[in-house]
Amino acid sequence: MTDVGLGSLAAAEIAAPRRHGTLRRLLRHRSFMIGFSIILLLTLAAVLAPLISPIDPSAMKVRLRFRPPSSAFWFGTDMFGRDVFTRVLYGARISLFVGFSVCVVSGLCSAIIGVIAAQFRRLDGAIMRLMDALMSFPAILLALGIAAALGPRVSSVVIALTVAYIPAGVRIVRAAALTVREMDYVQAAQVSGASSLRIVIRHILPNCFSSLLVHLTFIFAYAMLAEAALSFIGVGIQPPIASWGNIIAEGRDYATEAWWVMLFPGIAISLAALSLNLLGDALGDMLDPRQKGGA
Amino acid sequence: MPACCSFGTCGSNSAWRQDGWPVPDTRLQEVTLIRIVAKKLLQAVPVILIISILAFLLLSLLPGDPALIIAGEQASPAAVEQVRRQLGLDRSFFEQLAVWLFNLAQGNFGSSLILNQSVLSAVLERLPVTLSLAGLSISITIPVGVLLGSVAAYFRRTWIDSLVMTVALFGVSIPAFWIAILGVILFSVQLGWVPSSGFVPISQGVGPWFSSIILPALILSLFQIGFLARMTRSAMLDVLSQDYIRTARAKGLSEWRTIGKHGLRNALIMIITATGILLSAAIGGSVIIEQVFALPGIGRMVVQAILARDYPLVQGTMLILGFTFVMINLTVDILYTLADPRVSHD
Repeated sequence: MTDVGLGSLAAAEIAAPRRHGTLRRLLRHRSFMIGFSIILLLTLAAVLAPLISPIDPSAMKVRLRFRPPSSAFWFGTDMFGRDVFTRVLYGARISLFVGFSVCVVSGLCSAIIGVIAAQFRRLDGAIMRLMDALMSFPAILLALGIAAALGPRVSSVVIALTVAYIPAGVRIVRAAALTVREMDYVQAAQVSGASSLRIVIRHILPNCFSSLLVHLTFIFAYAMLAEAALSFIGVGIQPPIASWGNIIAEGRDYATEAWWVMLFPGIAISLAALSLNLLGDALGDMLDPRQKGGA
Repeated sequence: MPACCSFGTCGSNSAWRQDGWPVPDTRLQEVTLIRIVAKKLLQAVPVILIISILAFLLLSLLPGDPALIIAGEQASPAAVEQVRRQLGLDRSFFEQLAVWLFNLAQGNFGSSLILNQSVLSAVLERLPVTLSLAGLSISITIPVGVLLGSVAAYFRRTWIDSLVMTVALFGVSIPAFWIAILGVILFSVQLGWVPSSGFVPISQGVGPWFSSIILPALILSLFQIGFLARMTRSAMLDVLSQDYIRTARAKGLSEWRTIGKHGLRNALIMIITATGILLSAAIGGSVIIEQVFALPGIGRMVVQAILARDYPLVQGTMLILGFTFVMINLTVDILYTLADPRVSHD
């Protein structure tokens, strides 16, 4: 028992400076800083939307329809005379909320399910076959089916995308957990009488964390792109709630005359996804050398 | 003497080929192969069963009475009852599940409420469109993605690498449906090179078919090219740092042979895996792209079915696609085993 205690103490001492180093290296990592700055800016814009633009995103002024971008309407106005800039700001709230919720909830679920599959070997087969079944669908199609069944609400989109992205996370956690389980120090902890729960919390979860974090950063980006696509085809977030996907859908019919309605939300999605992909790449470089370039 | 033997790690009883691959023992390999293929096939059976049950449960996710939702709010009670009977919703849960599985076993995937057609025939009718789109897109993606990824890996840490990887990063970040609208404005409206929507079957001439499908296929490829280039680069970087590449260079092989034969061949395994993912993703992505270009494919049908609340059609189509994806994954798994004798199987 003492041995294990000393062992983990030593490990903690060794780990501390490394963690420090990681943070410093992250701050010096160019793509991390670019990605982090953009996503921070977008998040601030989303949170402070009512302060940045005092206009009501769904206030219609038919008199002002299809005004091109100007100093009064930075991104122009749409077919109902609504301010596109304000709608893109409020769209950021929905899109980032959906992306972040999917990322967090699917991360938690994958961690729990993955650890269960790795720890309780008798359940492993059943769990992994269920994951195989879910994973045999492309995420967007699975989400489409679930969102359609649950009905057009924000929560349905979150649930649908969460379910769609759980299997990939489960595979990552399970694989990491299975590797860690075989490590000498975990076996030592087991022999010295540590409970399974303690082993999971103290040893297995921390060791799955970096692979999972890198993966979830990409899931954030994918979930946002998928939400936009679902909302674009009319199965996701429904008007009048503004989401980047449904603003593009509304602007699409007037794309040649009023290009600004669909252009700016598209740039917003691309920027958000780009910054998250940069973040994911940087985190992958730093935390998880095995997972280069990510996917 | 190859570098891999200098540490004595390759014992005298196992021969190694010059490209770093162990010479396979054919008889042993055949037996393991058959076992592995059989195991994969067996694993696919529960997956197919689970997919069938999940598709069945899709209808029970509907909040409220499915019969009422499908028939519509304004439907008369008699019409609702008719829908209920037609879908077998008046029976018990397990009875319904049993009927559903029994029908599936006979190849009956149900029938559409709006199309007056069985789901299978509706899907088969639209298959050529989706297959053209996904197929053409994949045949653009694989050579371009592999080439870009290899070039980036070979010129790593130079401006070429940065340029290629930036392009790839944009590819995986820009939403396809948005770039599709911009593409239509540029290539159809402004330049008039290709029609902005609609599908011409290949039976009406290869030229018209090609011009009706090339823009959607290219746009569908953008994400995939980015994805594949990133994957190829990281796989190639792994391969290029191996001892046998250094050996190949040391013994004076030309760069072309070193990269082409030893490098790419080892990266092939990754490419096979990627192809399965890409094919599924191409079919998934075509659901969205078909909407933008009004292509009458499976994806457009599913979306129309959802909006028209034709749930049996959604359910049946998802199921057929699910089976297709299981088959794709199975094929990839088996090819993977054939390509890489080193793969270990738990």
